[in-house]
Amino acid sequence: MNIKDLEKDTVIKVEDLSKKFTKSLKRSMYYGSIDMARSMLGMQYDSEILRKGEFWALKDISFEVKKGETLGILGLNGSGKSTLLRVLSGIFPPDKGKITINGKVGSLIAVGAGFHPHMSGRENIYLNGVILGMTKNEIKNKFESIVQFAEIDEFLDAPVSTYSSGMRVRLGFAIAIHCEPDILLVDEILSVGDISFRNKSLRYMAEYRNKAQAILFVSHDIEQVRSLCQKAILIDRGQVLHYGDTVETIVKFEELAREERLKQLKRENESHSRDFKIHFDSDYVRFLKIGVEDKNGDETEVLDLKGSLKVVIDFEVKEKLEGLSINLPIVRDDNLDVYCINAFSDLNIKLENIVAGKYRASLYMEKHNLNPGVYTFGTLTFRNSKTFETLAKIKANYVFKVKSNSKVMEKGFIDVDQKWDFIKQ
Amino acid sequence: MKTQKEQTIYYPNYRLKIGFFQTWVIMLKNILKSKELIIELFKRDFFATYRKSLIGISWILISPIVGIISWVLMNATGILNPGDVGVPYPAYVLLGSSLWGLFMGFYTSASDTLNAGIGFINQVKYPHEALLVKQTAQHLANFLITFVINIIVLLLFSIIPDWKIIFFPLLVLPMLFLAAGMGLIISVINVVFPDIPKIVNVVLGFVFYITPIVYSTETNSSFLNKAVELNPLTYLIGGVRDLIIYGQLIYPERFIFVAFISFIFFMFAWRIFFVSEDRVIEKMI
Repeated sequence: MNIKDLEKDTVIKVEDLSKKFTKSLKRSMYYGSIDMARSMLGMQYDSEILRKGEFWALKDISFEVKKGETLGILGLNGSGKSTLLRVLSGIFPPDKGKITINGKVGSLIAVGAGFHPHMSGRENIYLNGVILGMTKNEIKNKFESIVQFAEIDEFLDAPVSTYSSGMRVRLGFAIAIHCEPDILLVDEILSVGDISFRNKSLRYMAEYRNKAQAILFVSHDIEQVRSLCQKAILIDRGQVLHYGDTVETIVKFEELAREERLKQLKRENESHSRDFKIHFDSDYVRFLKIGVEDKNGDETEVLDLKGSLKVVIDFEVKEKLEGLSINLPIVRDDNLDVYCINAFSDLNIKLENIVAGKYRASLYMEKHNLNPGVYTFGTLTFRNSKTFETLAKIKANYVFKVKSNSKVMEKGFIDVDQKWDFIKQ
Repeated sequence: MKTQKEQTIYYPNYRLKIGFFQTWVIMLKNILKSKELIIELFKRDFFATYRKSLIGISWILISPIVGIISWVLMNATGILNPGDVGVPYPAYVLLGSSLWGLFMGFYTSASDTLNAGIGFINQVKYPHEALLVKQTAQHLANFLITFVINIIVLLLFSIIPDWKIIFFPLLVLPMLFLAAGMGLIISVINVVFPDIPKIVNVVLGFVFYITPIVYSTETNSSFLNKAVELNPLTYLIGGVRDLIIYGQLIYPERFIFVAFISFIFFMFAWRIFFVSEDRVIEKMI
């Protein structure tokens, strides 16, 4: 293959790239021995078949990065992002597919690789610099700039082991970015250091975009990806879930994260012996069941953005009550109380003089006003509305999510209808 | 734009598809390209190790001196009775064992080639051949110090080394090739099958006794004589020692033959390292 086969402005071309790993250590060593022995004997290794205990860490990944582009790589933990960067930088060989790269690749995968703790900052700049592929002369020329960027000038001749972790990372980062490769692979690195250093790094990246042929950028920080990348790729369990416009990909990523969060919270709930926790029931009220229902009256855990919400609460009144109030907070998965629903709010209903028996209270909201996210119920409280005596308190382990159906990122947690006028005065 | 940028293509088994001779060209180029890396890593591992210690780099001198003292003492007490070797026995053993040390050192440092890069070998892409050179250089530096002390001891025993000692660097080359070749292969195997290097170490411990180092080549056991005769190290190590002490190679044809085989072996080992190392890097966790 020669350069003509690539379009002129393509910098990286990845075609059906796959990479497999082994789960168990012993098996991994066993396969490693076999593959090594085969290679030693000059036999090719069947990389396209999964053996027992192997899995695809990356599967059939294809994308293309053009000159001047910054590509964001999004995915949950363990989705294969770092593996992809390692394969692209040539550290791990691919098991399937093909990668073509035009230009010198540099990676910001681990900062401070090869630092020796007893050597001074000055010596480590040279050591780390040559490990990253710079020549001594280059380092000499950029030395001042590295020290300045890392903000370590007064500790330059102290051993690195005396540095704070922040200083070490700053130094490592400063060296790495001074390599100035054509193609820069960045792995989750702009989240190091304090705010001011992070901002400085981000500014540097934004500037470097103009110099570099291409940047591939792994981050969990959606704002960073949005501000730096023209395109993004979403990887889940080693496969491409979405590839295209950054905002679109971020929306998909957030949806995926919510899905994962919902599953995780449900798992947590299942591991509890009961699906709700009763703080107490009293002689007056006994809680039976709570649920979110869709239009057809079926229980659901997924709501549409700008859609309706129906909450159904079943309970039993054991003795006649002169007044009843029901209070239920809606809580986002990060424990933020979003709002409280309570039977007080509806003035058309008077919960007075309730005789004993089973009841169903249902709340229907035309618009729940919740932005996409994962939500649970807070503590459901039944009170006597005359005496304000608490009758029952229950923490129901019910999880539901509001899914995004738009192509824009929603910020905040409340969705409000907005009507704007735009008038020239 | 400037000149055409370098293009890299990765696909499965790409190293296997590189030609046999091409391998050596690539690896030699890589080593030349990374000479600054080699120097910096050498500095890190040779000097920085002693940073915290009180007497620092002087530690390098201490172990060979202690070794020599113990040999001299043992000889003085008469524990060792080796028969006639033509020169004072301590000098004979000292030289032989330091050459054995040189061989083992070449082997151990080469077998640590991949290990020497642990911490950044699966973070940064760089030619790992550089590590072999750095490892070997580090060992050579250690050896040189020992060697100078040894020569001083020889002079004290009033053995003036033959002028042919100037061929010494050339004569240790075959030893280096054999040891580095073995070490390179073991270095890859060590990552995925650490039992094998352990076995090799045990075997090498045995080989020491079938190499004429603490005794002369003429022994009474016919089995030992046969083993010694077949052992390539008899010629590689013994040859260098004989040159220094007696000023000549006792078996020049055998030396040259073994040297040639060692070189060929090294070239194969290098290729084997090249095609198999990238398969094991991902297991270095």
